[in-house]
Amino acid sequence: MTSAATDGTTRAAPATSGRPVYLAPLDLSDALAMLAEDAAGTAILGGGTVVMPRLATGAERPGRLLDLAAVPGLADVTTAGGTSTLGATVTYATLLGRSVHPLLRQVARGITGGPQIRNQGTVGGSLCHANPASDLPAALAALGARVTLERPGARRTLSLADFVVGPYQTAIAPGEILTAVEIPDGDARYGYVKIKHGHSSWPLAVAAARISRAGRHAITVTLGAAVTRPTSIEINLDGELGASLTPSQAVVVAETVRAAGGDWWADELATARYRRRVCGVLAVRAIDDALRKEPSA
Amino acid sequence: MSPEVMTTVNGKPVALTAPAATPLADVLRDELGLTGTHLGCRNGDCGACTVLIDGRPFKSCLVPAGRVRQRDVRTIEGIGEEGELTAVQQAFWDANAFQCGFCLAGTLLCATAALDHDPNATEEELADAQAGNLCRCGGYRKILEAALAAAQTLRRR
Repeated sequence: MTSAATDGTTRAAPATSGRPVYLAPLDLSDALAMLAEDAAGTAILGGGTVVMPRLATGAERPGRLLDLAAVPGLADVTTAGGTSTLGATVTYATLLGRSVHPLLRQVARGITGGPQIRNQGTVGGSLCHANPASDLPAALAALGARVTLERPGARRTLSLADFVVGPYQTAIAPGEILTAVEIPDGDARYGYVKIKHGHSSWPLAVAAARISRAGRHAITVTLGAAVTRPTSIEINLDGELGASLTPSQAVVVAETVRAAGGDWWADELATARYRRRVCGVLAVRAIDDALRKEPSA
Repeated sequence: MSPEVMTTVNGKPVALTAPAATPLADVLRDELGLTGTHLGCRNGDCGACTVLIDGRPFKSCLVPAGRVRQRDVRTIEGIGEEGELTAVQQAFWDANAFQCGFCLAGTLLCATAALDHDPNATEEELADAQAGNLCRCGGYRKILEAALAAAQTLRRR
């Protein structure tokens, strides 16, 4: 995780060793207090998959590294009263656990980088980095997740849509730490599909489909990796939902998604035009994935 | 210089003096002389820096040394006994599963960890265990064959 500015601006000069000072608080209030001493000069570490490469290239030169790995409770998934809470340092490996929502298990299985990165990458880190070409933010948006941000003596929660405000841009304020993600229990069917160039590539596009069980089977498709921020699109279909979309329903889905006018993302992996085109297909596949699967837990 | 991090590497307690924010890969190589852990990208892509921490694989270029305080770190030098190859090492040898060896810390340790975790790991699971490792010599198929052969050997024991 990084503190607010992710544009590579230089911060406080590092310690004389040339390395940032390493801080490993043992509880959250210590972590918050340490951060408050010099928020602008501190990089917050979740799994290290984003911050450590930036230190290696010199893209970031914080004076201090605040490692959250030793703060108890942040690495846990807990369920209580209709809400699942993912601590900020929950790793993708933890998301493979049985008590975790099937959509998140599916996302975790497909994370690029092998078992090593699954052991290292964190939920909080992925969200705070807010790379448009990311899997997890879209899946969390599809699940209606809310993020908890804390500073000494204060806490606030935001919806995913309000937290991820643009490419690599979040609403986190200097001095805040993202401590948890809350997912309300719901009884919907979910599908998920991701495409990437090759096994070791970042995703080009992901689509998460949510089909409500009640009444008219409302369908929402949430796009990620192809847009500047996770984008949810309501789909209105005629006719019943069978075991898969009919050809005419598929056309409506693809056209609705392509016309939704999201801020399509372009980078070295793909153009905006390509992603827009492909997302139409992915939305169909994600919905079919939901229709084909077992009912969610 | 006073030690910053107390840890265990390949079964031996060590007191690391490098700054705790130093990537573990650099500490293992430069301070402990364990150069079997390689640096290919410093970006978490190639896997050549893989080590086992408490038995699980991590890319050590991404791990600040402070994080392994009181943990058990195992590098490629630290698996098996002196003079005796493990089943996985023997299988890699027999299958010609490495050429230049640059990727070996990743491929060997991931196969080892996967089979330590589950000796009955399927081919799909053993392939997935390698998903974070790049091999420029193109050994991928041989690496998987070696892992499968090691699994067979371990099941027979």
